[in-house]
Amino acid sequence: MNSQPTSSDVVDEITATTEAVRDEALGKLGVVGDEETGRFFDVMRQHDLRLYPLVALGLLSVVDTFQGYAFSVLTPEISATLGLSVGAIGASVALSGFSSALSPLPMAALCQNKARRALLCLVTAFGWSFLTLGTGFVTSLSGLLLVMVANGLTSGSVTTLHTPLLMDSYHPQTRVRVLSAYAAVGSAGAVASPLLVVACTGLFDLTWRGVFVVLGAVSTLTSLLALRLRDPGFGAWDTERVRQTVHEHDDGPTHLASRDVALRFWEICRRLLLIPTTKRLLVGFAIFGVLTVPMAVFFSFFLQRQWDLSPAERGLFAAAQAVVSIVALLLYGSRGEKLFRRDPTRVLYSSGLLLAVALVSIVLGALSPTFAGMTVGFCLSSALVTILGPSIGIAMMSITPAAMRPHLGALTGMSVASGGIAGALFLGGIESRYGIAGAMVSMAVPGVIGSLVIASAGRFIRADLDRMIEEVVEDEKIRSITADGRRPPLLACRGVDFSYGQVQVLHKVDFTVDDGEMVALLGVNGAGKSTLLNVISGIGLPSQGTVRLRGQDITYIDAERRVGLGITQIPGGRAVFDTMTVEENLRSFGYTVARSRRHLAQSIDECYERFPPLLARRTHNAASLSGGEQQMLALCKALILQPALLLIDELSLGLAPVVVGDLLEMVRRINAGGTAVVIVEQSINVALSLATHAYFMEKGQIRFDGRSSDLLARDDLLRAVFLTGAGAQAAGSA
Amino acid sequence: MPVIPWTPSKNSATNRREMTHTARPGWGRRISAAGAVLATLAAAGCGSMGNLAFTQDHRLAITAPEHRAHIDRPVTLRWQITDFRIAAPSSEPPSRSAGYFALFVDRSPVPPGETTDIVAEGDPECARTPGCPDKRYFAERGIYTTTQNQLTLASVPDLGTHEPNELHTVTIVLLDTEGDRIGESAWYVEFWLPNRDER
Repeated sequence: MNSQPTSSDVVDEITATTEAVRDEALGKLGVVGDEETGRFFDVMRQHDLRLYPLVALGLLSVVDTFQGYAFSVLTPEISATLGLSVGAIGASVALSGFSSALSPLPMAALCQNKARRALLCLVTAFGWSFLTLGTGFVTSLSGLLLVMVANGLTSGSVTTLHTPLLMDSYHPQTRVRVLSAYAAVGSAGAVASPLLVVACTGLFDLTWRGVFVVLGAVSTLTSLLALRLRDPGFGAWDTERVRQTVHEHDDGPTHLASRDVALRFWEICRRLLLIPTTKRLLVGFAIFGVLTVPMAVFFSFFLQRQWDLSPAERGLFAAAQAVVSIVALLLYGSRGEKLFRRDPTRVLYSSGLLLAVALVSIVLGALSPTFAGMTVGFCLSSALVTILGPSIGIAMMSITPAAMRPHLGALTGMSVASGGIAGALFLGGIESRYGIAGAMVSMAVPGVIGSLVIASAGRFIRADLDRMIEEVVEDEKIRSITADGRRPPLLACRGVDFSYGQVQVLHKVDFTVDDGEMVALLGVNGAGKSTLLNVISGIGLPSQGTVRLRGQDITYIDAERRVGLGITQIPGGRAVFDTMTVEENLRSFGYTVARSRRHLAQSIDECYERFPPLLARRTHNAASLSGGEQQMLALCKALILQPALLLIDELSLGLAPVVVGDLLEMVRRINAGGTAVVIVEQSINVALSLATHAYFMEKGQIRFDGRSSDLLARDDLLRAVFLTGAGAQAAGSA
Repeated sequence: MPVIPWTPSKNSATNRREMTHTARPGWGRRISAAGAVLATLAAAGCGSMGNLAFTQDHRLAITAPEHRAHIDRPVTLRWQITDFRIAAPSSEPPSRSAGYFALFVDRSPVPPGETTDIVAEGDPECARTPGCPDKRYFAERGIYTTTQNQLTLASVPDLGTHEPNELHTVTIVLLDTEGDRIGESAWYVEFWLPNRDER
């Protein structure tokens, strides 16, 4: 059992397991291929699920809107009481919006290493409750700014944490219905808030101060009711069950410890942005923000100016829209569930279509000569836009690993907010030129783009679901290998795709390096060799596939962190800092991993000992060194950092044979010291004289993986290199 | 009735606004410090309970024009007041129950406890002009004071929109005999006027 698996063993094992469990795993993610969703409460009973998380989070989302709603309605009174100008009030609202747009980021960061989403939801709920209450005691602009900004900061938990928490609290068979119900409860807030404000002012004769005190008290009570909220852990109903499927398939142990290097905040965000469906849907959400955020303001003006509605009448109109939205969400829940269960692609296609229809409704509503026509148009559009929340939400969340969903929520919130800012500028310009109705009609332009972008994401969602399953399966297989006492390869790249913009240069590359191995990576110019090295060292991030170091997933780890993990790259051509001296270059290599001063001095002495020409030129700028000396200096990086894996790109390019010989001898010695080396070479003689294991790349694909001696027998592959080399030589001599 | 009044409770002690107005060790202290800073800021931004109005003040009622009515220039406002004695500026010592009215057209009123002179603060031209700010200065800025129960506005400038009708707002507050705004009470009325620029 302790035999070292070869690279092909590992890759084949993972591929076989992925194929075997794919359908079952898709089912665990809620995509079954049929429409047998079952009755909601039957499924809840079957899995012993409670409504409490849904109700608690829904109510928290309602009371979160209290402060903002009351402030928007009572702005004239607040302004008159405090003697604040409209500009000052507008500034406080803008700052609140800004803090609200930024707040999802710390929320996601606070729960990325530990599932403490429920705790954060509660803390922020009490926070905004007290702030709502405190708004009633504000007497100055500074106080107003404080409560507005702080309230914006607390509200980030709703966009960031609620949906991920619901995803992990409910079985995949109920999720679309749960998300729809949650959105419906949120819409109920649009009815509850005006009613509360009307009751406070009309029945209880309260001023705006009294209204905020009452709303704060209601919000505090609601937060107390949500105190039993608990975090079920990341991926309790999906990722963890997919892992279980792998163990059932392998008949292996069920609980394996993860040794993965934890991704940092921005590494997670960057990783999410590399998922094609997510990338498109975030663009879609930004456009969604263009439509919805300023829409609320412009629509209010529209009702006031075009239809002469008073604030109370506008509140009633908003309540009517909310009621229609609630009905639409309740009708959509089970239909959306069936659609997602059968084919998630259709969910996104239908979302694009819904947005398009919503736009038509907005345009017709804005142009309608009758109040009834306008009401129908805007109620319909509001209902359709509300449905987009659960329909796009389920698609995005399902293709995202559970622990990263808060980050996705944060990115989504920021997309919507940034779209909102852009939309306000866009519609403001249109409104000043063509009037309020013109602004409403102009929403069709970004709306059409948004609906196309959202629908286009449907093309990628199946592949992204497969990718997530593959990642989980691979992760579990590596854990199994480790648990069996076997050692995974030092480096294992699997299924790596990489693109420069729209040009894909790596296609499903599998590449493995074992401990202490010397590997040659060969191929013609443009084959993707240097790009592969960049993906391994972290300079480039793959659009698909994984990179593992000793079994740990480092695919999305920053390049500088990989140096600390033991990967060092010597790039082709200019691998040194030209304007720095030799000594400074050597010291800079050491600073990368913060070596102790004494240790670094010893390493630098060793470099001078191995390469005496460098000692003689230690105070000279690197740019003044010969090509060979520069490569010597570059190789010193390996002597100082002592990596587990050294990636060398085009060491011999343009150097005299005698210099190349010296350098190769040094590479051999580094390798003999235990460092695995990947050497990219166009010179087959150089590469194969060093390495016993060779890969040959052509057009971004691995065409050969085997012993170097076997590659020498492959004329069909090597001919291209020889011909290219000969051609290059001929061109050079011409 | 078109007016939406907001005012201090009748028991308010004073008319003046008071101007006093991965677990790592150390996180607890940081959170406590942040809390203390927030509490201090909050205390600075919030007033004492006694000065704040939590229930509406119905002493004043604007009778004309009707709220959100479509009218034409010149605009005449009328209102009724109870439990408040009208007194001319400097006619008697300041008190909460006597004084006159200030009207603010399409602008926010002065903060509680402040006089209308605050509007001229920071205006170098006014500072150089003897007698400034005067009635004309205030009228140019949409501010009028009166001891009557009605006022005809000398002018109501357009708001600069492209709409055929524009929604204007007039806010009325109470001033004591020294010209300081009494409490937080404010009453406002909105009305539509034709936009002369768009005719």
